[in-house]
Amino acid sequence: MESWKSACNSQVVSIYLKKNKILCNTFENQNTNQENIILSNDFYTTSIVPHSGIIIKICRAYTDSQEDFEDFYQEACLQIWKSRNAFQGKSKWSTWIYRVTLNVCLTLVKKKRKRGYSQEIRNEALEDNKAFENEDLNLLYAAIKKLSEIDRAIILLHLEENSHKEIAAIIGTSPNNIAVRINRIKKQLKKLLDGKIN
Amino acid sequence: MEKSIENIWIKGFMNTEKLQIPKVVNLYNKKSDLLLEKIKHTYSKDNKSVLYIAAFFGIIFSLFGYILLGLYGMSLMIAMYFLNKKMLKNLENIPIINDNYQYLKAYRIAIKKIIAATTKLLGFGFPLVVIPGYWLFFRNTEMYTSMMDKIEPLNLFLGVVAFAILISFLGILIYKLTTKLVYGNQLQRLNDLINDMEELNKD
Repeated sequence: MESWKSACNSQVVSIYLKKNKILCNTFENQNTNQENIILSNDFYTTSIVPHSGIIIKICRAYTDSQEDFEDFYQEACLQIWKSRNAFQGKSKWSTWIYRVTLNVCLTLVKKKRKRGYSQEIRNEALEDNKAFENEDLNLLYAAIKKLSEIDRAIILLHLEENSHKEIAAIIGTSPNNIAVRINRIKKQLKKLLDGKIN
Repeated sequence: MEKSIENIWIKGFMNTEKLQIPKVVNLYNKKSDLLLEKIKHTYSKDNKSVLYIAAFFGIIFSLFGYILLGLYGMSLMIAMYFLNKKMLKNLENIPIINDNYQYLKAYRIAIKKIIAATTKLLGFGFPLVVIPGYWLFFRNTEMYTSMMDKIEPLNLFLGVVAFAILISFLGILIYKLTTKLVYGNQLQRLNDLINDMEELNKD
């Protein structure tokens, strides 16, 4: 381990070794020519940015404004960074990110803002979801936001192609319950989107 | 291609490189926005200041001749410091790495612990501060001596108990109202989420 540290020629804070993937967290890295090492100036660039899509997709589903979205994203990154030392490689790094990001989204308080309440998801999609270029995706997000917060988590994890077992492990229930709930959510979404998708 | 939600998702995120990553500023020095972490931060900061206030209280009252009152106030504040410190230690590790259900339950327990500890502190602490404080301050005054001559010991005892109950009740009432304003929504949301999770487990 000492040779690795000296090879990095930097202040190595923590090193996670997992199969061929090495996440090396450094603050002052001067030598970036190491083979097989994902090395960069900080943990954020090496360990969060490659998975930022996960965080963005989840945070978007729990926020209604760009300001809230950015706050949720930053908080998720902060909590991932703060809890990094507890990661022991028993689960996938992406599973870890899903779990922490969802925990942040389920407990972070949104900023209060004045806005009218609209039942029409097309209007909400136009108001809130300019983030994505694809119009159908914006409509799908608006429909997902109509679901309960737990159902949102389940369907997002399903759409991200996690298995029922993985979803159950992240949420804290059994795979059978997840399977039943996914069917119910899909029916709900279909009803919400009926006639809205071209 | 059929427009199932899975297809919309896949097609929508086909070009993930187009996803705009929010600008992250000073991440490693940022203070957390989570309610529990904010409470922990405020408690920890306030708790340190309790020590300074205790020292100030002790010195000022001693200088004005109320040594006993100064020492009494100081010891109460030091006791409060250690109680708060113990409570903060209990809140240290809310496991954000746990599954969502376990995390939400731990989060709710932590907030309830804070509320319970502060309610107890106000319920018992408020009368403990006010009544002996008054006594220590007025015990050598003429007003106190003349009042003692006029009031029967039993009546005095009953009066003090009634006063203690009243200020304890007032302290708790004010705290409960404040708590409802500060934590009410968050607790309601946590309850709803946990209930939803428990419903899911029954499916």
